[in-house]
Amino acid sequence: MKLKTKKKTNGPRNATVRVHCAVLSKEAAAKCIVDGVHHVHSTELLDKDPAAVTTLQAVSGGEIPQYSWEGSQVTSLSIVESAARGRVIGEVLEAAKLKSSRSGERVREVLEELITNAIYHGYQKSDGTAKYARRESVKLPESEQLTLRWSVVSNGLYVSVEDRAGTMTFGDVQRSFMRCYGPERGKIEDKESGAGLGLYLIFDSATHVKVVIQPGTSTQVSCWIADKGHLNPDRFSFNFFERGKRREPK
Amino acid sequence: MNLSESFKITQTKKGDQTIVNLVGVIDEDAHFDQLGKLSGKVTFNFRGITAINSCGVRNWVNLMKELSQAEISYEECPPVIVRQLNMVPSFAGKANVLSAFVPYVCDNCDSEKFQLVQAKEFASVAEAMPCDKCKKGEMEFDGQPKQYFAFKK
Repeated sequence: MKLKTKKKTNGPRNATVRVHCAVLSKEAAAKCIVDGVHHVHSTELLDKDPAAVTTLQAVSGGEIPQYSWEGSQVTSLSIVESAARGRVIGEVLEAAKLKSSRSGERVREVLEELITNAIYHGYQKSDGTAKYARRESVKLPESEQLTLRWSVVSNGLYVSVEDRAGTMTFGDVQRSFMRCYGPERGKIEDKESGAGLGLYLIFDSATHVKVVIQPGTSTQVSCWIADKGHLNPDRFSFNFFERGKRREPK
Repeated sequence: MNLSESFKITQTKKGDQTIVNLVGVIDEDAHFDQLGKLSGKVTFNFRGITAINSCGVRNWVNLMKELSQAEISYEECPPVIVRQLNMVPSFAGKANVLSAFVPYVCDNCDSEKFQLVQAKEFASVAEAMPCDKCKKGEMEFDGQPKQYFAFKK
């Protein structure tokens, strides 16, 4: 099967942003991402897939796209403390009324990792280390409260968590996937953080993942998780967008 | 994960085997200190585990490293644990998976069932069966058997 790719040179560092459309396994897609591909669509329709078309147009125009799986009638919640996440996740699951408990498990896993990643890895001190220790129960100041968005869309659930840090980098994703999909597969960090595994769990559990970074301002990770009977392992996407300049570390 | 199910461990002896029953959520608050010194034949029963997060996976992987000299088995693994077995090879390490719960969903009434399957039956697990609740529909394997048991390869 011919692989379709589109290259785009983007930003002052001449980073190469490629859109890769093919039928892939998640492992193969992760390898593409490790190799520097910011946009992967696994689809039999290749670059004719509507979502892939959306990505190609957005990349060409330098825009952040809105995919159909993100839904239009979205409920928003604020997350003000780490201890509240169990309750919040439960509320979303209750309202979503998914048909299978396995779908619910995937949603729970994804939301747990999205929220904990934002709190315990998104917010950093000036030296780049985590502001909050992993086992610390955190009450977030108003300037750091997370926004959780969700909507039932097309036999699945759209969820998104946005922080007010904007510290995630494409390199973080690459390192996570290199560790979890690469030759050292399954080598989990011994130290406190373990962020790499969280990103991997999100990618593996969700059908569609979109990451939008505004450096120093916000990181929003959006996912669509299929409900019963609509999980197609050959059809998924991963898209990483970064807009704005990243400040050099001190 | 604070899903109001605190993590509990109970241990019993069955002959020369130590059976460790795990209940609740495996997360950053789940402590395995009492398990690090186990030796000989050890079977972990995961029937009561309801959720696990990335910190919990990390802690469990570290425990398996500590127990590298023991003869470990896993039994009654629910779908949340089977997912980790498939995603993180070091989650099982050298453990022998004895049995797992297989999820089925009825295509008519949406009722669910979790069928316990022994390891020797993993390759021949039924993909569908009549629904014993509504009697009209078919209970289908909620997932794909090859992927669900990929950890056995």
